[in-house]
Amino acid sequence: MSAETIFIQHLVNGLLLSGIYGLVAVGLTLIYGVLEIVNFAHGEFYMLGAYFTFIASAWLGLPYYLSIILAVVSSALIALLVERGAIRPIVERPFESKVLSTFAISMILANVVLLLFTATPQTVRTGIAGTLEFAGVFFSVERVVALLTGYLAFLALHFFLQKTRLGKAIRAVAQNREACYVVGIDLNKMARLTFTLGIGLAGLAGALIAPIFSIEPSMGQAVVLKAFAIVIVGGFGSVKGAALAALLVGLGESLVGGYVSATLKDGLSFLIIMLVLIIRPQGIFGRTTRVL
Amino acid sequence: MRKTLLKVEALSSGYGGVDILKDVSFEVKESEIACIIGPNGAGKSTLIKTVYGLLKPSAGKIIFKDEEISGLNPLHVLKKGISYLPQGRAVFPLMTVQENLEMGAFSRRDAKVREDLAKIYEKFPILKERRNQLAGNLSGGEQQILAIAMALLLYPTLMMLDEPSLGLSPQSMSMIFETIKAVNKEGITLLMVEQNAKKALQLADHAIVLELGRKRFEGSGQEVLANPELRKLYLGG
Repeated sequence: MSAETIFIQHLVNGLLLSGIYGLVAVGLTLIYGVLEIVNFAHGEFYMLGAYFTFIASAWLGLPYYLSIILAVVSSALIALLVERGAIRPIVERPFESKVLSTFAISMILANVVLLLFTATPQTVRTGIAGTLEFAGVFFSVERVVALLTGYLAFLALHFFLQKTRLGKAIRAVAQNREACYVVGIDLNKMARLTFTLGIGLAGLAGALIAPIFSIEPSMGQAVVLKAFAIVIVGGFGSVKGAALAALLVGLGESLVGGYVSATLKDGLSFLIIMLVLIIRPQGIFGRTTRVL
Repeated sequence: MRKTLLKVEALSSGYGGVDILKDVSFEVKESEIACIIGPNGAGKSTLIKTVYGLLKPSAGKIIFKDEEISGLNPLHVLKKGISYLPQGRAVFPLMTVQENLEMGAFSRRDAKVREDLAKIYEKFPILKERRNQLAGNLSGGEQQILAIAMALLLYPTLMMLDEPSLGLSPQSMSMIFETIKAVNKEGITLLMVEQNAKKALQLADHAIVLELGRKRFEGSGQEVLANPELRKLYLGG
């Protein structure tokens, strides 16, 4: 393989990773912006998305695109239950209660999946495996599908937040809760919607990654740490910041892993955090008012 | 005799089981400007937050248009025709003026919103000029006018304002008081809390003086201004 081919493959892999990280991180940042909760269980919903895809394709024999839809819908349904049972009761409570509650959700979800599926990694077969050739470079179909779907979801989210009535209401809550009382935006309803939306995006990320890497009950932890890094780098509550930081981390990891050292790549996101926190402690797009 | 619009009866309320407001009663008549004054910690904000349903009363009743509204949540109170502008700037700083006004009509589903927006721009030319600017970049006074305009889109019968002139320059302050007067001229009843008592009292038909959570005095704005003892206590002589 020529040096160029290798570079392009690293680039595409980096973009794919960026998309996945971005989907996870943007949900985290939305939930923080609207509910003022740092959702430590976010990675577990990404893991659930992957397992729902496994159930849909391996057990139910559904085609891949249906498995993705099922995974997103199922994650969102579980998010609705979790919001009702473990988020709404603590939304007005102090920071510690929120941390404990979301940590508890994280542990319960990870252990339930461990109990049901054991710690043995599983693979998801999609029926769309194969390679595509583009200008002499080969890409796996699954990766291309994941990449395109991820970015499409991101665009759809952007459109939803900027142009629709409900999306604007979500931004409104993040910008000024008190002003929501003036115009009659139901904060509870927006919290439920945002939590479900954020979790749905994490579920989608899990569903997209399932056929590419093997899946296991602890897979959420590594990703959520990177998502935290991305959210901090981008500025807590900022969607734009999360998207940009995801691009930085995903591409950086892929290129560092390919050209420097595979063991260094996981440290990269944390190196970026350190640099950003030293130079711009509020994050790239962080401000004193929150940004959505 | 004007009809009673809002009646507060022996109301007590506060935070975390501790009453800040104690046994306060008063009435607000239709189309008047009522003003609550008193030193810091007198319970002024607590009072209007309780009327709006942001705090639950521990005792007493709130009656609006002959209907008890005590304990309703803010969304329901808003639907009854009461709007509330909290302290500080009740706008969405990272949305344009136009988007803010659209959010003002968030809970409306009728087709007349566009028409009403045009009317708002006619009434407040300053907003029209700035329609594509982010609300966060407007001056304090302009943000306050935007917030009032957003509230007007829901056709309130009673508008409650918590310290509308707080932190404004003297120039913006007179602009806000002019706006408040204009809003009242349209028949909207106003209940406001003001730290800037002198100015508010000149405007007010009716004043309620609170001290340490209790009603200390009630009368017309002029009466408070003419009362030497109250003047000394709240107006600096």
